[in-house]
Amino acid sequence: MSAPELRQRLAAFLLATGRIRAADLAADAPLITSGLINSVALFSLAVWIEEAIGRPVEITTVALPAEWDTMDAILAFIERERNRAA
Amino acid sequence: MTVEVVPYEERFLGQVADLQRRMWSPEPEFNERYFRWKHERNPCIPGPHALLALDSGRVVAMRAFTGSRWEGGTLAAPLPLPLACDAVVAGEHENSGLIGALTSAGLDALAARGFPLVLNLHASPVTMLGALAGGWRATAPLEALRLAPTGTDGNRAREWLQRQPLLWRLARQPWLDTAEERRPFGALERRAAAGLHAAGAALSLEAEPPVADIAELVTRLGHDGRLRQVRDPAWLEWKYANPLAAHRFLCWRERRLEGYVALQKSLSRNADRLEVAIVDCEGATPGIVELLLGTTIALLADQPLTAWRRALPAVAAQLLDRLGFEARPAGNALARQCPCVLVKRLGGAEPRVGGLDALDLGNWDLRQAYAD
Repeated sequence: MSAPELRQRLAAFLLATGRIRAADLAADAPLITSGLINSVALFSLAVWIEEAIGRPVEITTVALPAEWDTMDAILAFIERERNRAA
Repeated sequence: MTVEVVPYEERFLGQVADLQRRMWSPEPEFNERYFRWKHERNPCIPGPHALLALDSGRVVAMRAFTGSRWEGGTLAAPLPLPLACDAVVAGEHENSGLIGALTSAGLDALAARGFPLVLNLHASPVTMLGALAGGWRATAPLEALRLAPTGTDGNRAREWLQRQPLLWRLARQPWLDTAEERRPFGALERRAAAGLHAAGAALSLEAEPPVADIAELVTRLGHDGRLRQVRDPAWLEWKYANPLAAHRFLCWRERRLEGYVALQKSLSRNADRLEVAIVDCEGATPGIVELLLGTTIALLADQPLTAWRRALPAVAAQLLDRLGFEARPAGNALARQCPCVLVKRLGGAEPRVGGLDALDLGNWDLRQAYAD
């Protein structure tokens, strides 16, 4: 899946949580530290990220407020983890 | 709608007990006793430390912190640390950020009292993720293990009802209880009465917690410097008075107590009441530990047994592997990372306790009995 496709799917997923509007989805807009993503939505996001990477994430080693706070950060995390697995 | 955050007061107990029907047990009277035990009688930190969210005067969410005391590392005296617990929110307020707001207010209050850290030893995957997003850090998982029984049906009627969209509430009705649920540890006691004397006079199954003997044994065995809760008579007396749990103690006695396994069953209709947890275990020698665990498993052959691998002596963990314990089934990879030790630093640069890194699981000697 290309990077633009992945970005589009992530945006669609975040909108589907029902807590985020299209206006909130700037590439560098904070999602976790702003409270837009709560723990239940975060659980779904974690599962979504694992599927995008293709393997489980050791969540306890991730600094969520830094590494998953924005769309850009999430996509960079996925990219890093995919490269690490390769 | 205006929601206000207030500290717990006695006048809210009835509402708290009602709200906690979602988590603790469906029976409010049980929940009142549980709150009083856990938050009013905790011997480590005087409480309660509970925060409530009120909507038009009605309790709609709660977050609490109970007490623990730790020894090990360079600690010259036991260190009291709060344990985060008991987060619950009313259905109509779910996903509104109330738990985050209550937790934040609670942490501010605990920081003001000078506590360096707060721990959470029993977080669900969702709670764990919410905590990590709020700046908590986590150790590696404690590795929940389970030994499934063979040749038994469990409570099939209840399992079927729980899967039905309209009938699932019936699954909690008392008339569905099996004999073992009506009399927790009944089967264990029958088998112990029939069989333990054959194994020698040293083994006994005890319903009353042998508090003084356990404290003496723990002191006599000493420890390896890792962080562990203080198992003194006051804590043991309190811990095993939990009104939502039943306990039995398989003991090895010579002139004095030389080893024990502490077993726990939940009494809550919200929990699996057939499951038995090995919540603590000690032995003067590896042989005693092996004998106690082997006997426990033989006596409970028809009931699911659970343990945390990292909460047992090394010899015990190896034995559980040989006896067929496996990683507890989890719906996804996130669930397999629970339970773990969640750490929230309230002051200081690094999360350290007694000079030890609190994020290194190797620095903790944890028991399931320590979880709330």
